[in-house]
Amino acid sequence: MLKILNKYKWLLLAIFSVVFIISVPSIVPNHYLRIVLGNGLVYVLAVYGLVVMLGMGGQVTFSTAGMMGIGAFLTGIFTVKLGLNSVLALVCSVILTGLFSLFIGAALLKLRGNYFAFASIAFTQVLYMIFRNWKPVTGGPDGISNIPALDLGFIQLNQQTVMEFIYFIFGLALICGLLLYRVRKTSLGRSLESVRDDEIAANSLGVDVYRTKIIAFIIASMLAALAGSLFAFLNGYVSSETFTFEQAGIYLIMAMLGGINSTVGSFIGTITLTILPEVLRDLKDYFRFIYGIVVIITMIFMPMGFAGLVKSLLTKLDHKFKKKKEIVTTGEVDTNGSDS
Amino acid sequence: MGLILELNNVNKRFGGVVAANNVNFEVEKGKIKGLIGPNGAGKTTLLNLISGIYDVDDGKIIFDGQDVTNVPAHKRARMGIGRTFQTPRFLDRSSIEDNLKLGTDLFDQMGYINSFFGKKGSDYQHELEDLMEIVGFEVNWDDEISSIPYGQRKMLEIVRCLLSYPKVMLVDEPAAGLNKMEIERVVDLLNLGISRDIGIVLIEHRMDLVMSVCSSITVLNFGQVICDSIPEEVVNNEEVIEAYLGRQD
Amino acid sequence: MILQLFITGISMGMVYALMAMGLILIVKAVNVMNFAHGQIFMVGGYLGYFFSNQLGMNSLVSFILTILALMVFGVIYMFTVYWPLRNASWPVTVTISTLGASIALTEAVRLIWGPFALKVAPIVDGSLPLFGSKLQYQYVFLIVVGVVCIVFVYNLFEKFRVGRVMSAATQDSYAAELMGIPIVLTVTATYMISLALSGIGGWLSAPLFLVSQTLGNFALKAFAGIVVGGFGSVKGAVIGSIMIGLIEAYSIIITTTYRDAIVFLVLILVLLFRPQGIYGEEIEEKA
Ligand SMILES: Nc1ncnc2c1ncn2[C@@H]1O[C@H](COP(=O)(O)OP(=O)(O)O)[C@@H](O)[C@H]1O
Ligand SMILES: [Mg+2]
Repeated sequence: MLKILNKYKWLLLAIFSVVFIISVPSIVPNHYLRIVLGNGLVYVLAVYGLVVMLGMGGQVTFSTAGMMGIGAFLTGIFTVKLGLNSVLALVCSVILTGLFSLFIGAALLKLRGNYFAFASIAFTQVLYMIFRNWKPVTGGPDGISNIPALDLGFIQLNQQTVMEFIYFIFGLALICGLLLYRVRKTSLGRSLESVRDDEIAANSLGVDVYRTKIIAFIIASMLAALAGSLFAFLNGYVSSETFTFEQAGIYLIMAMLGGINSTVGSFIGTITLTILPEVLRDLKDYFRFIYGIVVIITMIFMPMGFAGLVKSLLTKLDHKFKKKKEIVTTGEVDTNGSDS
Repeated sequence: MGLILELNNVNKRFGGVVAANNVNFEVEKGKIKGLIGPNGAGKTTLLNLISGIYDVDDGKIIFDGQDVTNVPAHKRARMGIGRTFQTPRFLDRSSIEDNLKLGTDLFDQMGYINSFFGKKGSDYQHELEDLMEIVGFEVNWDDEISSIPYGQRKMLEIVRCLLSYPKVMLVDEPAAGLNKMEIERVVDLLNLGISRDIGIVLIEHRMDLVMSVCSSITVLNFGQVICDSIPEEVVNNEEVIEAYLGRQD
Repeated sequence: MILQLFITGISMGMVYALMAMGLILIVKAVNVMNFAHGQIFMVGGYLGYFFSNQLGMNSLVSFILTILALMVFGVIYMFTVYWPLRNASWPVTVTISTLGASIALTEAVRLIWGPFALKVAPIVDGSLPLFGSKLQYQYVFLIVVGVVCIVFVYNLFEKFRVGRVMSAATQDSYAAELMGIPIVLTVTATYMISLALSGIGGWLSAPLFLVSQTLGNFALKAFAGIVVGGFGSVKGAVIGSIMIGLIEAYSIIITTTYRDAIVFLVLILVLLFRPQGIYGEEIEEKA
């Protein structure tokens, strides 16, 4: 089963994409839910950053919210205050955040394990304070509003064109997902895995642990900034309250529930966790409580998240299948008289 | 003679424990240097100092004519100092294939960008087949490394090291926990190393093995070199006998 | 003014220290960072409100009941949030489950006591005139109880045999089994003490602040205290937390808007220039 899945994964991905594109308008009929879905897709990009940092590199980071905030506020400042072209603003936001994360990463990644996690909490908190209080630049508690549409030339992407916006972000998520898949298969992916599992082994295999972590941090930060920038365009508005420490924790949860080691899993996990509260509105007051409990239960019973569950189910099926086959074929082996 | 690695008056202490005391040590290309001594003598520490996992307190490490004393571990690995560990170190949550490919990555050293854009490296598959023929077992490459037996892991660690074509290979107790057949395979792997002109440092407790493959042996006790000679002389050295017997009571 | 800031700083430091000690005990025992610790602190505050205000009990009874309730909860918490995950191949799963617990606790409290901040009557009324300003007895009381708790835990874990055996047992399960101590007992006891400490902090500071769900954020300051003091020692956690309290109090002289930012900037600076903290020491990893 696993093998079959592996063999046809590109076909499956293509089918999934097509089905998604065709069915979204009818599955998500109302405007409000579409905006929620759009935001969910935005979060997917940020969570992909965690797949690199945590899933591949093993580094727990709370910096996602902070970096996303920088991307979002830069976009707000570039478009609203400086009147820059929107695509240019998006590109600049991502690149500047990338540069910034090079310095932050170089400083914070001298720390390891828990220390780094704390430093990333402090980083996100400091940024949050700045976003909330630096009135002339970030608008303080009011944030920045009236962010224009993302102007692609042939189309203006904003809340009015939310369906098109969804397709656009979905396309980006697909591309980023494929890039991550590629990273996983090449030496950067393997180096990151070595950093995650055993830094000493990594060193003795010629992996520059510090540099590799910084590269992962930059990738994660740029993905977060891309998410932040798109968030600004989609909602037309940025505020400090979107980029809190709690939100950083939510991204970690999204990544883990979907499956930290899987690009597809983290996609599904993120979308599910964004849409679910809206679909289960009847639960209203109880939703977040149940959500917390479900997080604990999921970690206990499926620590590798949704993707891990699917994988282990398929593996089990494989084993059963194999056993049956062995029983059938043992006769043959005996007659061959081979001894291996 | 082709000297590839040289330690000059190397010292290392951990708090009150002197793990390396003025150690002088030489390794030649294409030869196996035995490193023996009682438990806690400082053998593993010496490997850690050579590979750069620990910094020396004092002294010099010369590799391939260069002073590498202050070169970080990962750079030493890229220069050609390969090693295995007393308990194998793998990426426990990765596939066996990824684990071994790290060896080829080390040899190719093409950088992340080149690798990302699909630059061809050395022929991993072909190399690996040759080595797997020597070790004589098969594995499912997609399985996690933790799913295979200890002995196989120990051998795969040497395979991984050989894939990186090191100039010096440091092997820490490769035969510990292996059965007789497996030990023979390990010897085959070491011999392949010799045929590639690799200078090998072999830490081992099994005397028969050390005696049969090493061209010279260094004996450590309490971090100090107490004997450095050819195998025949080492077994008859009184200090060595005393160090080993003294441990037993 | 300066003196008053000092008192506020010390008492906030005490509150952070109570939380930080609890956190560090768990870290030392099972190497887990409890991200729900601030929510335990919050629960302590709400329990204070419940026993003292809603049920009208006197302060001593309310205090004891709060501690008992949190100890019981410590057992439940340990067996749900930590124990099933102790052998997980991805240690981050425990981190995530404590994040889940922090959400669940916040929401549980909101469901029970509602979303609005509640006022808790002072435990001790009145204030002492001091150099032209007033010193509320409440602060004095908080500092005294805080010191007593700190001295108690410090002695329990660093001085007395019980504590040493306990922390040895959790750190070296093999040795512990030789000694005949089931790990599960020592870990449970650690969680009980840890949660009780944090709850006491919440109970003590409830009258100073309004009790609300945002109390959970106080834990971030305790994290900061732990890192500044040095990861892994009770002494470091206490001193670091008190420093954080003082820095926070005095930073008001420079800025009011960026008070919290200053605390976290200090944290980042410490991490960069002395990552092992004030009382930590660097350890070489064993290969
Ligand atoms: N990281 C370390 N910290 C403290 N002591 C160490 C460390 N590594 C090794 N030692 C000590 O150095 C001595 C030599 O150890 P080792 O090199 O492992 O011996 P061997 O491999 O010969 O058995 C031992 O006493 C050991 O306890
Ligand atoms: Mg050893």
